[in-house]
Amino acid sequence: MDHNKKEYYISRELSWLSFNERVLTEALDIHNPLMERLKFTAIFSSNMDEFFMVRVAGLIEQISAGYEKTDIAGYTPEEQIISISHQTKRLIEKQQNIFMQLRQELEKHNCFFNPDIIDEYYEDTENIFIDAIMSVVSPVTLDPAHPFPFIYNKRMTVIAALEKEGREYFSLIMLPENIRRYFVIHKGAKRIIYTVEEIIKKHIQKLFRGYNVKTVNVFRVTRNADIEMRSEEIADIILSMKDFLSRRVKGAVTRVEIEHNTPKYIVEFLQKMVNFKDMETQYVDGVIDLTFLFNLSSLIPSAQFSHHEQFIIPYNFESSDIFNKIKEQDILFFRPYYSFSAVSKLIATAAEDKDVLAIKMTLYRTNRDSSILASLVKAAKSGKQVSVVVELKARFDEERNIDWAKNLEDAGCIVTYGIAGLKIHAKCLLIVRREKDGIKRYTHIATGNYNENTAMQYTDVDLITSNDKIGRDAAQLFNYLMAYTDEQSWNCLSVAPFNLRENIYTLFDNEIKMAKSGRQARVIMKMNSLIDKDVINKMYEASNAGVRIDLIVRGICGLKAGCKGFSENIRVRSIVGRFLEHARIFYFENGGEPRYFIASADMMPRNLNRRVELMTEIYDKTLQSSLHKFLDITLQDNMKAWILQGDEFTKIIRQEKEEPVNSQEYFMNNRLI
Amino acid sequence: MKTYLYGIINIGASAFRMSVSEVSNRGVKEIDYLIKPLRLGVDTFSQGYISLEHVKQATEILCGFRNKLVEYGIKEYKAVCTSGVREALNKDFFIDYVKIHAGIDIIILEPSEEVYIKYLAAKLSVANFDNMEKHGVVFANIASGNVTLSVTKGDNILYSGALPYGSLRLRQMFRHIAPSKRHRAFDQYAENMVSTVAGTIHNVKVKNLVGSGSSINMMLRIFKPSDDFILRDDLEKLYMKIRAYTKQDIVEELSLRDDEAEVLVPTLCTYIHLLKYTGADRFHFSPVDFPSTLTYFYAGLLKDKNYQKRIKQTILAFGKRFNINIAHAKRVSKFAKKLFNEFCDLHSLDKSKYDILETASLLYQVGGYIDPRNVTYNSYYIIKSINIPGWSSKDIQMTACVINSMDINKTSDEKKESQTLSPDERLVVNKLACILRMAYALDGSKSGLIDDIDIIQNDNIILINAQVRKEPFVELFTFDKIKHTFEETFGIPIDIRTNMIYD
Repeated sequence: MDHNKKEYYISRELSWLSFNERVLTEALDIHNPLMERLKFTAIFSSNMDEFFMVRVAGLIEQISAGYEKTDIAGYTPEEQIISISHQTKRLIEKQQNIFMQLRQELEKHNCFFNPDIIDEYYEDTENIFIDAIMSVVSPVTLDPAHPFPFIYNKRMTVIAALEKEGREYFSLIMLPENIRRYFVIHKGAKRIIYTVEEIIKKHIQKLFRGYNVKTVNVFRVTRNADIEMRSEEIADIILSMKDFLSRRVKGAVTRVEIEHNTPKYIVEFLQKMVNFKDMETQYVDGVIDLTFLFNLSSLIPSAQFSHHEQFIIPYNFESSDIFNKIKEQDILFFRPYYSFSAVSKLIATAAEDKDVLAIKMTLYRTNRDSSILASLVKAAKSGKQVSVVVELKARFDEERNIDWAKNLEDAGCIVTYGIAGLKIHAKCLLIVRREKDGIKRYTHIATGNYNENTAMQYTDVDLITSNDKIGRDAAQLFNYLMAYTDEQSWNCLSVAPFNLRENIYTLFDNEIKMAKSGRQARVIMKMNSLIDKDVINKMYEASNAGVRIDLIVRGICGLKAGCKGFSENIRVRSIVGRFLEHARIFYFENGGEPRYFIASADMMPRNLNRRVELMTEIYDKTLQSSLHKFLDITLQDNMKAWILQGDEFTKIIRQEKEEPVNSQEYFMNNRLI
Repeated sequence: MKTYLYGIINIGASAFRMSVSEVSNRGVKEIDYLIKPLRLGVDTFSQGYISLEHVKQATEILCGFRNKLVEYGIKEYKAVCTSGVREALNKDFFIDYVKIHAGIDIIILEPSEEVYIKYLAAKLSVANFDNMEKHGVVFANIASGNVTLSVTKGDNILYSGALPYGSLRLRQMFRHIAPSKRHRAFDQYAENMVSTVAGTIHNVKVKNLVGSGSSINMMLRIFKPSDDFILRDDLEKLYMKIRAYTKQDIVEELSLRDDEAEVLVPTLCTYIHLLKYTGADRFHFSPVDFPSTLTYFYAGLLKDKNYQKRIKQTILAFGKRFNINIAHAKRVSKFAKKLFNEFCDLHSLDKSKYDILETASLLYQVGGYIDPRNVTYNSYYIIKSINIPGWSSKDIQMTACVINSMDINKTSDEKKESQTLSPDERLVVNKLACILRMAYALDGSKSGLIDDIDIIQNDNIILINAQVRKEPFVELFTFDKIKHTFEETFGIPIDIRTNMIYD
């Protein structure tokens, strides 16, 4: 087959937008409680923000640089921007329509969103305006002494057209970062929710005595937040990261959301002053920036998902005896169905265990009050060697990671920042312990971050093992990441960018060989994104050879499924549900001796070429069965699953005779281990 | 034996390596291994000293290695350096800087120690090595700085030494020659090396080649041998193909690292010339790398049971080349060892000094080959130039000084060679020279008139009771002339009396 045919692939950006539409569609699913549906609307908005800050920003940069290289599906950067613009317009309209429907649903719960500020609410909103808004905003009325201010990224801004003595003025109110986005007024059983901009609009005249307020509109600027660190900045990474973060706030404009009824001359004025074009202008008929709906969900607790009682792994992780248990058998568990506290407790135990010599871990994203990091500090203070490889470039978590890095260093930990040019995405923890019969290594490898908060929202897989070969490779990985060694040979782990890609190919080649020899050949891969052209081509090659491939891809998918001639044997599903699907699990039939892997990597060029990623095989037969069951149930999902046919995802419609299967609910209620 | 952790740091001319191992009854289990390329040899072999930039980079690497020692709580470690540091003019600065800034104590490994340790590892790890040794083996360790060679046949070590023909050194020496003809320079140089060795061992035929060294890993990746040898044909084919390639061509053709590609052609060239010399169609390789070898050695697990015998044979073979009187040498050696053992309380010297005394007693005559009137002086310079497997240059120098000091007629100016030693070392040399003088006197006529001796130690005198077959006039005369030096050295007078043995 001709791998240069663009018809074989789906554009990355359009595929991502399709994923975000699947997220938005969850807001329509009546099986979800109302406040959770609002949350999906918020997630959609938040995702869009990141999309414009990173992906669209990148395309704009490519266009500015005259870069014309096409994407996997053959689109130039300019063509991609045009498609994105059309799709986004449609999606935003869809989102606002859904939000309108949800507002009606809210009213059934006696919650009213931005009703007209009639007399009944006037005094309340006036009080809010005077007490909570007027004192914290600083209008800038433009004149030669007050030039147009810099509008920060994602900052809601009000523009008012004023008139005084026949002359027109513009005044800008950039809402402070810490201002509340909405206010709730309680009127008996009724709850009235007003956005801050709605209250400002009503009471703005109070800010401009002596002026006549002609129009008031709201806009919001999104900027490029994906600014690269310059290579010369690498020398002092902490200092340069701080400088980089301050520069990122002032990145180029990638989108301006503006109310649809804003007068044209004001739009043109803003385009001139803020420096954006029609293409970047996004008119919103409704409420700009719905991310605040995240916080609204607590308003009606009964309309939220019911409490999720996590399973507990039946071992005492708070005793040093846990090391004997791990030696007896590997431990594998699934987040968030099982509590991640096992790992937190293991680290806490290691920190206090007298025989533990060293603890090493990678840190990509973690939570603010991480008990894991507190344990590491404790371990370092008690004289153990604690080494932490911090990825400062974990997008949007950079500041938090800088803070943690400093705390860890102050406690005596060895903190390093990985390898220039490679982002460290592998999730690995290594405990080195001196035991009677020598040095023993305990390794934890996961598909998700050491983040106790997201561990309750993201689905991931964790392996804890005393396997000597895995431990040895993990030790070498840390040696490499800490610049102690340049050795890059691995016994059993697959490590990107060194051998992970090749090992994936080898596994596929083996299935191809099996299929060609008439044996059963099957691959199941669960991941977040699939956009690496070479991997996709390998899948097409396998499909053509007769290998049955089931892909469970949450997000971006550049592969076209079920197409005659190149992907007839490939099925692609996507699960979007209560939890964010995040686990990467790979299954290869291997002629009846199945092999199972978990990984931190998606099948994307960035993961395979420019990040340090880990893939480990699961050897224990019992654990293999758990993984098999997990994949099996996921493939049976007919409640939250989407199926890709060609380049279009459609939600699976359950047949009447079919038992409903919501895989995430199944795993919440049924133990896999 | 209690299990303990042992750390080895090996500072080579092109890379720093560290091995952490568990040592127990069961042997050595490597649990961590680090490698960081840093080409100190480029500095040393081209400008003679290590640049400050490289000293600092080296220190940074060693700080990382020190963290590893701390991580495992390792108390026992050895950090050894070879030619990249050893031959640098500023080696003392380097060692001191690393000690201050990284807290690592570095020791310099002498070429003879290096080759001996590597030879031992090969002997224990290469299949059929002992059998090969019967027919003669060239053991070659092709490293970045030096090629260390040990040529053995049977129990004889015919040659042992480190020659300045290391691959990186050659590459640096001929860096100004265009790649298209640089291989010719390598050829000439390697040929010269082989001639040097062949000239030393004369006409003895050796038929096998065993290789070791950091270059082996690269060769294994290139040739992927299924057994523990690589064929000469394969080496020659590759050499012919790539000898005029640029470094970049080699990187692309063979997927090697830059630093490996740079030394591949000189490495192949050296192997091919050594194979031609032996006439072998293959070279066997030791699978054990140098840091692991060092671990075995310093943990006391790498032992040659026949070491003493082998060394004695080698020393005597060396002596024969200088026409020494072997029977006399053996008698002097026997008396020297007996006196050393009997006078333990007087001299308080350890076993390593016994080996020096024995070697000095066997070889003190070699200078006579040049000029019989000035034996000890000439012997001093001959001995200083030899390599004894497993011996440091300090050991060799002390041996030479013992011989140089045995002549009591020398002026202090003539004994100036000993001035390079520390006061403590000079004291040791004086004690050993005194014992050697006594031993020499006991066979002064070189006729074996004294069969054996007994030593009687009283509070105020030591008496040597010599069993003689004939009246030993020369021996008694000689002894009488030198006996005062014994009292001056050990603070107690010594005398001799004879007991005639009648058949």
